[in-house]
Amino acid sequence: MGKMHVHTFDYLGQKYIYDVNKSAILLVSEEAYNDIKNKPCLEQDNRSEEINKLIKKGYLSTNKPKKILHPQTAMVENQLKRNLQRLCLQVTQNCNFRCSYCVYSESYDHREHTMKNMDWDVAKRSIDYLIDHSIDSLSIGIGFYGGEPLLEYNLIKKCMEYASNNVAGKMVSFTLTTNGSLLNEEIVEEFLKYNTKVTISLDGPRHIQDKNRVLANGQGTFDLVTENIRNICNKYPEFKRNLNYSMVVDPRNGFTCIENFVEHDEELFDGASVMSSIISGYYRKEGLDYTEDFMAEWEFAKFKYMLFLVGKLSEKYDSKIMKMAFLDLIDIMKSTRDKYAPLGETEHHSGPCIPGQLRLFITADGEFYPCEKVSEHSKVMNIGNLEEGFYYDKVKQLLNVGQITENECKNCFAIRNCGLCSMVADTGNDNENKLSKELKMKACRKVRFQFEDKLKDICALKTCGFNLEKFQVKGESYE
Amino acid sequence: MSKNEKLLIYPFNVEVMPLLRSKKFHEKYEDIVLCSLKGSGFNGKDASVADDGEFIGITIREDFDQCIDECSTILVIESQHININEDELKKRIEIVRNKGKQIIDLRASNENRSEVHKCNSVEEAYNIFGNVKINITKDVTYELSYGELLQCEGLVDITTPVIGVVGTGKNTNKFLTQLSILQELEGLGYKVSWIGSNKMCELIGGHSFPQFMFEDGITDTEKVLLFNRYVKNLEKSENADVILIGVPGGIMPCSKNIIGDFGILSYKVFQGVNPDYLLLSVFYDEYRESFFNEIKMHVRYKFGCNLNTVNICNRRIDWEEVRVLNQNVIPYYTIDSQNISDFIESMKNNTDIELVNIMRKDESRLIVNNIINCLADDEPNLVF
Repeated sequence: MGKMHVHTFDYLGQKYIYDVNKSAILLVSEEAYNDIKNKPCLEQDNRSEEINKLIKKGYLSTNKPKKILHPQTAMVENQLKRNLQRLCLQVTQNCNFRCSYCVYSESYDHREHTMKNMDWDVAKRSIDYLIDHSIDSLSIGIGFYGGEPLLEYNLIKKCMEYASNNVAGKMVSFTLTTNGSLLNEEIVEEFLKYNTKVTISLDGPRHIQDKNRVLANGQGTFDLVTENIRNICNKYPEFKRNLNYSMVVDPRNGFTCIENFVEHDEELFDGASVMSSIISGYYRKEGLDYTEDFMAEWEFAKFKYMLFLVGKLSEKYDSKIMKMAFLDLIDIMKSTRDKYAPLGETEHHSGPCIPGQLRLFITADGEFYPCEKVSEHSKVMNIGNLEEGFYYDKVKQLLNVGQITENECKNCFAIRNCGLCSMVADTGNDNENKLSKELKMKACRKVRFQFEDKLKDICALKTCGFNLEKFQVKGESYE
Repeated sequence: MSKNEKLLIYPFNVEVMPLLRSKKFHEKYEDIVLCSLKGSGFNGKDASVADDGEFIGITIREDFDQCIDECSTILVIESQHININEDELKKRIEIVRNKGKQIIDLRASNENRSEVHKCNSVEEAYNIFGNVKINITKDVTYELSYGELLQCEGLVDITTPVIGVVGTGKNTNKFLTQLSILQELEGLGYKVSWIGSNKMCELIGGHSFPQFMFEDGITDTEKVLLFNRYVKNLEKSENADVILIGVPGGIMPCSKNIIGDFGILSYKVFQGVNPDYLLLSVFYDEYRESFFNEIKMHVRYKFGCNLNTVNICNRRIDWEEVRVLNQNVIPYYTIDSQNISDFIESMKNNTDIELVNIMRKDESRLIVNNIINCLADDEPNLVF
């Protein structure tokens, strides 16, 4: 007798069932809730009329996948030979900052600052590789990453010029992630010419930024960065359209001061988008503790934003940081309406993209990694190089990270909204081409917890009359 | 142009592959140079890289100036690129013109509308649409004042068997499928009238899709009736054994964002002409059996005809790119033809629709056999 593929939860005194096959949240009576929770086998006699009605409508199915295999597995060669989308070039491993939480810092295993720079030959061959492997792509992109990439500005300029002169017909986009200290008028003019999108890493007001983001001599960087950006934006107001801020939030600090900073410093943030993320826990040597104050402030900010979403607070509370945090939730709300096909016999949890296809990270030495977030010290993450091309078997291994937790995935209620990729199962210094089941399981537990939280948020928003169509990003309807 | 003259095809892309794979085209144009836009990824590779089919034997180049000096005629084709620099293209065409080379421009254009057709009666409309030579280098306009008359007469019967080829979108190998069917039928000695889904069909004796179907100022009802008359006149003037019609675009939207024309053109076409055999070309995906039954019903109730065959194209929609681009274009990636054959094999006993892979060698023979079996008189004893 199969068990219903559902997840039960109660929230604010109401009883809910999340139906995995239908990808739908059902509000049910207490009696039905207890019945389903205690007797999850479908072939149970004496079901209530409410449950029978749901079964009749196709809910509460016992259907579960029989095999875990990523649907793109058979397409890996085709995609990587013809449909590469974007490169992320590590133009240098050097940096003029010494941020305490930087992935190159001592807090992490997977990278270290060196004086190594990418030379033109590697950069050119990387761009040629992208051109050669993107026959089917309508658009291609090149990102510049460091260290601090602007330390290698001349190389970046040469790359943009080369790609622009040698690609016609496709959209070519350029992106760069920088600490903002080295931006100057010459660089900005060049970036405007190529419509380069620039992401500035800025963590918050002075006391936050200066705590983690410091120069090699320990001096804070807030004034250096913000004054530089203010001057540039005053002279080139159109540059703001190309500007994003990336805020790495340290959960050992407060959150309200960061939010206030973003909402009130119009000169810096007006017209620019802000992405925030919590300091990465992956590859970290020591655990990351969230302070009670941080959690309280975060939850309060979330509460205020939800009140704004349901029209109980004014637009003043339309928080830039929270808006980005809620994108994921909105995606789930959209998908619950769209994904109605039941799970197939063969499935894989959502999350992994074909490693390298969307954002191939190429190191200064010309080695391939799935993206800039993964460890360069991990053998399992090294998926090829400029000389040999892609190692397809390794790409497929990473794509099918769900196979290391096959049984758990088959029964998991978050399979359609997982979001995990192979990075979470990488030890950071793997030498045996292996992913860690233990690390994956740890991440799985977190995902299930977070997904239930999101389901609850959705229930709260729906109950309070949230209208999905009203959710807008940059002036456009999210849909 | 004589057979010995060199033809440059520019900007080379997958659109032109059906022609390069066609004997008819090679009979007409023997010496061909292919030049792609810079950075397309084609440079130095055999043309077959574009559709991942069998080896062609022509290497793609990017040195446009050199290419044009070597050729006497340039065939400018529709570009699949979304970021094409029109000014740059015009400049290049102008250079070619100044060098005294012949230009065949197959791109859709709103310029050079130099032909105006006026008609005030159904008879005139009959004559115009029956005999008009659609000039592939120019667009034509129509000034019509016969609408009511036409509607009074309604639809006329097309007695010659009609084969329809449609797709679920652009780039589903419809043109290659039509060409393959055409050549196979002609090889068997049948005479075929062909209305092609792509302007390129004019180069090998087909009629490109009548422009009036895309014009403003003609009502949809008139378009249906005119298309009906257009095919009738083709039937009368060419007296072929079979009429092959390829419909541009798709029969339905691919998604909320990739809408095409919602399948409106194909709806109008099949209100005017009911096909006796219909082949639908679809992008590859991991379809379940139910998909084919559903699409069969969709066709039956939308067009009022049977769906006989489904061609699985060796391209798959790139849904990730759909999300990134957010434009009304269909990003796709090409997949190995063997994947399609494997999929067809796995579906063999699960659907009663014939599934084919036009990229497979000799597949056109299979399709044409099906067509002949379907269209052949299977009740010879029946008098009435």
